[in-house]
Amino acid sequence: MKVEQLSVFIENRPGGLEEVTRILKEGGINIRTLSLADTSDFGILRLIVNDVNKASQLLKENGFRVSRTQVVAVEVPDRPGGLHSILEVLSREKNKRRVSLRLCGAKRRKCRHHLPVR
Amino acid sequence: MIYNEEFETLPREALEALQLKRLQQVVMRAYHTVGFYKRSFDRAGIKPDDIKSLNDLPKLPFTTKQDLRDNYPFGMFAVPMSSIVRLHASSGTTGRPTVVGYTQRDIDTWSELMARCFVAAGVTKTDIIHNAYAYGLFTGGLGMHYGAERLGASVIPISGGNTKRQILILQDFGPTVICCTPSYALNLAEQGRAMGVDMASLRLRVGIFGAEPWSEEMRRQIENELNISALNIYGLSEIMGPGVAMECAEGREGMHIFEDHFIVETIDPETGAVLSPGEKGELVFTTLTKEAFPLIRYRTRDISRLIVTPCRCGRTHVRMDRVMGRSDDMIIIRGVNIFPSQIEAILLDIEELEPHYQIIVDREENLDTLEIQVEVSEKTFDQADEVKVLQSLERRIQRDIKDYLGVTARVKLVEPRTLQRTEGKARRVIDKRRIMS
Repeated sequence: MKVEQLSVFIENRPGGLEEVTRILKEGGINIRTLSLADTSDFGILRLIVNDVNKASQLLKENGFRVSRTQVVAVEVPDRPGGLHSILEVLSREKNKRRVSLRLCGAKRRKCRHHLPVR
Repeated sequence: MIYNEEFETLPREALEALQLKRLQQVVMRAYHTVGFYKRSFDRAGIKPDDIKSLNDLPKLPFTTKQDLRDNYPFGMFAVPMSSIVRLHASSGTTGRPTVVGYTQRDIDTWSELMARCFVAAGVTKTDIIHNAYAYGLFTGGLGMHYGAERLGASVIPISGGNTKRQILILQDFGPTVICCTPSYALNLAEQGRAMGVDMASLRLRVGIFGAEPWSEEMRRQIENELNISALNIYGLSEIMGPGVAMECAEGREGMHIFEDHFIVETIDPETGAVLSPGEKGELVFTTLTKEAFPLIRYRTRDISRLIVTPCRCGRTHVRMDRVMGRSDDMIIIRGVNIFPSQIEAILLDIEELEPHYQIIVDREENLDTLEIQVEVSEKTFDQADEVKVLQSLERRIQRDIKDYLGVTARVKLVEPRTLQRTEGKARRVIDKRRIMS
C-alpha cells in the first residue's frame, strides 16, 4: 500500500519534538508511526499520520519545514521470520530503494514496514 | 625613546605648517591624477586652490570604502603601475576587496613609521622580534617586517598559525618582542601552558598588539600571563597598514597618530559634521605623503576620540583612544575584517538557500568564534530531506566561507522561525564578546 510520509526538520533543542507532537495533538492528528534521524545540531522526523494534508498544513503554519514523500507500507506477519520473508524478496530483486523500519499496529498481530519509493 | 626626534616632537605650529604644505600638494596631485577625485571635487564645487588653511579641509568631500570598491582594482592609483612596487588587499570576498598600492617611497615611509612604532614601544636594534602577523595580502605581516628591518632588529617571520611551532620558537630562539593580535597572544599563552611551558619566564618583554579591538582588561591579562609590557597599535590597509598610530611605553594612554604623514578628524557618523577634539566620533584620515594611493578624508568607520593634551613622552602628535566600535556592521574575527553582506553573498551563491541567516560571534578560550545560523528553506528541504544531504550543505557553506573570507565558521542549519523575522532592519550579527569594558 502506498502512503505519504511527512519529513519535519527539527533543531536539536529541548522541547523541539514535543512542539511537533503538541501541534499534531491539538489538531486531532493521530501518529501511526515515526522515526527520527538526528545529528548533534538537527534531526529529521519522519511521520506517518492519519491525515497527511492537515498535519502538513498545521506544521507549516507553525513555521516548520515539511516535505512529503511517497512510501510503501507493507504488512509484516507477526511471527518469527516475518520481516525476513519480506526483505528476502526485496534483496532478491536487487531493490535499491531506501528501507526504513518502523513497526506499528501490533494489536492486530500485523506490523507495517515502510519503504520510501522515490 | 623616539625614532625620529625631529618630526615626532615638532612644535604644533611647525607641524601644522608642514601639514598644510603637504595637504595642498596631495590635494593638487589627487585632483589631477585620479579621475575619482576630480569628479568628486568638481561635484562639491571645490578646487585644490581653495585649500588655504587647515580649516579648509572640511570643504573637501569624504572618500568611502564604497568609492574604493567602485574603482576596483586600480582606479584610485595616482601613479602608473610601473611606479608601483607592492600591492596589498583587504580580505578576499565574493564582492570586491580593497586593493592598495605602494611606490618605493611609500614603502620607505611605511617602514619608517613602523620603526617609529617599535621604538615608541621601547624596542631597539638588539631585540629579536617574533612577528606572528599573517604575511601575504594582509598588510600586518609585511608592514611589521619592514619596520623591524628598518630599525635593524632581528625578525622571525613566523606569520600566523601553527601554534605549537610558535611556542617552540618562543622558547628556543628567545625573541624579546612579539607582534600579533591580542587574542592570539592569549591563545599562545594558553596553549603554552597546556604544553607545560612557563610562558611568564620566556625572554619576551614587549608585545605590540592590534588589528582587532581589545580592552584594558585584556591588556592586564596578557601582561600577567606573558610577563611583558603590552602596547596598542593602529592601522588600516587603506591608509597604509599597521603603523598609522602607536601607543608609547611612557604614556600607555592612547596611540600617537603620525601627524606629519596623516591628518585626522573625528566626525559625527550620521551628519558628517566635524567634532571638536575629545568628542567621540568616527575617525577620518587624510594621507599627506602617500604617492601611489593618496586618500582624502577617508571615512574609517572606526569610532574613537582624540586626546590633545600633551603626552609625557615628548611627542607632539595627537593621540587616539582605543577603537570603541564601528559605525557600520563590519566585524573583526581573529583579525580578519568581515561584513555580513559578504556572508550573505556566499549564501546566495548556493542555489537552494534563502538569505535568512544570523551571525553569532563569541570568544572561546580567547579565540574568536564565528557561527553562521542558516534557515532551512522550503526548497532545500523539498530537495533534500536526508540528514547526509543537509550535512553536506553545511559543509559546503563552511568551505565557501573559508575559501572566500579566510576564516573558519561553524555552520548550523536552523528552523525557519528561529531567526527574528525582519521588521525594518534585520539583526544580522549578535556579538557576544565583551571586549569593550
